[in-house]
Amino acid sequence: MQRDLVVRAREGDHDAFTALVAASINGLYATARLILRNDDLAEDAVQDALVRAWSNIRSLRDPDRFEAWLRRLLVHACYRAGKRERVRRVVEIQEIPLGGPASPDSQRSLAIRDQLERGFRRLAPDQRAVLTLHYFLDLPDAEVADVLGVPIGTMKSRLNRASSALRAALEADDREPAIAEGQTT
Amino acid sequence: MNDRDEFDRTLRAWFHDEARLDAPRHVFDAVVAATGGRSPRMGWLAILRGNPMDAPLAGIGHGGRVAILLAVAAALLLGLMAGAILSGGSDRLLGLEPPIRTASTPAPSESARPSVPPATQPGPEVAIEDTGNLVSGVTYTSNLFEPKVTFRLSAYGASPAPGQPTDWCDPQRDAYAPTSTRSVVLRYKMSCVGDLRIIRPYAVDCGTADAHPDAASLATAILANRGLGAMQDLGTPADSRFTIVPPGLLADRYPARVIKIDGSRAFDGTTTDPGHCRLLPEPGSSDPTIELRGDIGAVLILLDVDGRLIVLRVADGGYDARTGAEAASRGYGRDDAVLAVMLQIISEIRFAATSATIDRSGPTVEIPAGLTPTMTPATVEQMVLAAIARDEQRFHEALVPARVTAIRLMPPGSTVAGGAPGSGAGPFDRLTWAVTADGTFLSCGSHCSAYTSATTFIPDDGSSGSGPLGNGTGFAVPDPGFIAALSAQGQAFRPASAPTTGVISAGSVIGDLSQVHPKADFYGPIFGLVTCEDQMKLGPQGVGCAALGADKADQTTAIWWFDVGFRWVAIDATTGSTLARGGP
Repeated sequence: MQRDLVVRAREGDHDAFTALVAASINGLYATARLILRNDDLAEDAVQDALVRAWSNIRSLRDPDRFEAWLRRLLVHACYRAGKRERVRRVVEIQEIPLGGPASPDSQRSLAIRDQLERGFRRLAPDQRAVLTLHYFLDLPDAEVADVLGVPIGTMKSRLNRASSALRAALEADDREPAIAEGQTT
Repeated sequence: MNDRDEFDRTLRAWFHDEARLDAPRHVFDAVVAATGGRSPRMGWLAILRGNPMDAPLAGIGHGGRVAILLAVAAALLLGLMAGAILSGGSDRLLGLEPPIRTASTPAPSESARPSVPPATQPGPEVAIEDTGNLVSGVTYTSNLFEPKVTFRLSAYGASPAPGQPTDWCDPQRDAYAPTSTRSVVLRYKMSCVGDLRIIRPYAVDCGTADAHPDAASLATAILANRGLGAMQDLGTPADSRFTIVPPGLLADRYPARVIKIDGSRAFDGTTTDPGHCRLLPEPGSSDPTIELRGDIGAVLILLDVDGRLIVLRVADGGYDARTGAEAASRGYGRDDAVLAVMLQIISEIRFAATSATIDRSGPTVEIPAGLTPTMTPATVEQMVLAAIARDEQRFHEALVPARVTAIRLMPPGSTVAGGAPGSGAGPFDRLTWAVTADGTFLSCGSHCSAYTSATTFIPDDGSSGSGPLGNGTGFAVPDPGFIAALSAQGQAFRPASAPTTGVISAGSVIGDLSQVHPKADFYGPIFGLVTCEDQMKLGPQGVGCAALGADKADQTTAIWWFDVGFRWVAIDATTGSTLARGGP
């Protein structure tokens, strides 16, 4: 089904391309949002990737590789959007590391989530991308490497470095002293 | 299970929780619109542009592709030149002849197509909230403004033929509706910066004895205000000596005064309310505070409409900002001609009759016979005003001007009618003053509410009092710590009514919260607008107005604020992204 749509889109059938967009846009948006941690930039990246996909779809020789190709376009669009983010970056008021007496499960869970988010934000976009492709999309290593456009060995070392960096960020967070309310990063 | 497995599991779970799977519809629409009008590139061009993956030239490096592109471009150029020379067009190709322009019939502009029937076809009044553009010959009204107002619009110097475009901007152009129960904003076509506003102030903070003055009292206070610089008292609209108010502007006669603030002072974009003269919006509304300033020119027509003060104000800066810097960023200028023009392209302004009146009474003092207090009413009044001032400081904003409206001395054993047991409303075991006032009241228990009117109880023996007991409906406000944190970095939060469109709904926020924090109690969400008050101010760690996105004076960030048990979170109300967190 998708293969047929890709073939038709490659021939200039815009309706077919629209159907492909409809089928893929939510997954692309979720991925972009994870990599960029910013809804506006994620929207821009998805739009950028899909418009480029339409423009260049005739260069795609193997219709079965449409999804991987689209992910690759998206990752590159995220990198571009990430550069814009560095120009204007929303600064967050730093949250308070939790401490003191034992917390209820929900508070502990919330704390871990917050630590993950903060740690994830500290990573470079290419590190966020490799983690997202590996942990969120559950892509095989070879496909992650393919999407990123790097050899599989490079991908594995990048994934390892990103995981280590995230672990280190979380551990550093745990060591930080309490900060008064409203202090900023 | 080892640490790595635990880490992987946690990370996967976090990814799946964080992933918002549905892309906004407008992204899909934008993609379809952007791709619909054109065809894909030819395959060879897409390949040459370095399209990644699965291309025949994928193995060719960037330099190689550039070389191929240059070669193809050179070949194309040669071909074009040859063709042009053969057809005798070499001069034009080389730019020696201006391009030939072909006559064309201009397409009618969007604004030339009236979206409402012209007035020659008698029809109902048109609400400006419902129309896409404004045309002449139509009687406009507002669905929101009270009392009901009607008016007609036209273009400067043009025939008032029905259905013609006017010189006013599309009222739907603003992010937030320019109309409310107390404000109608019409923006002048010149960049939609200058505007005419019909304002029914909630209160006035301009040095008048009463926060609800009539037109004459406010005019006197304005003219006596040295902070407003040079002004002209232009009398009444009917005064024949002055022509800035056209005869047809008002359909009915109202007690009125006209003042022109020259705005001749050097513009100070860093100062808020330099003239100490403000028209205040209703607390919780999205209406701006209107500052009258000596560095911004304006014409004010102050009207008494059935006992209510209504201000028609034209200003060429569109100054509805909380800071001068915001006004400056809007391209504020000083052009008296524009003010006069705006008053000539609106006419027949009429307010529907209303029986409502405003309360102009001062504080009432009630001391029952036989009671001999230690303190005087003036003393307790000052104590309450001081408490209000403290709450203003905590809230970083005065919701309404402070005004004590009633002072009553109560004998021991008294209970305030309607006061719930344990609410601090009695019974009192000693002589107690009950002081009712308008002002800024913060009532904080586990969470905070704000009131614009409340009653405070002060024991006559000087011991600690109780209250404030809010009168009427209060509104939830964020933790003062959040407001203080914002203030420290130059920002301010104003609670506001959430628009029905353009922002994430409260229900959606609650739904998300319930999913992410199924076990946690949360308070809120509370909608409000974050603005940059002072770009020069930096918080403890050197972060200023960028902290919640409103990093420039002309920017406002709509946020939802909520408290998840032990910490607060502020999210962008339009995107849903988290902007800030904090906690006690």
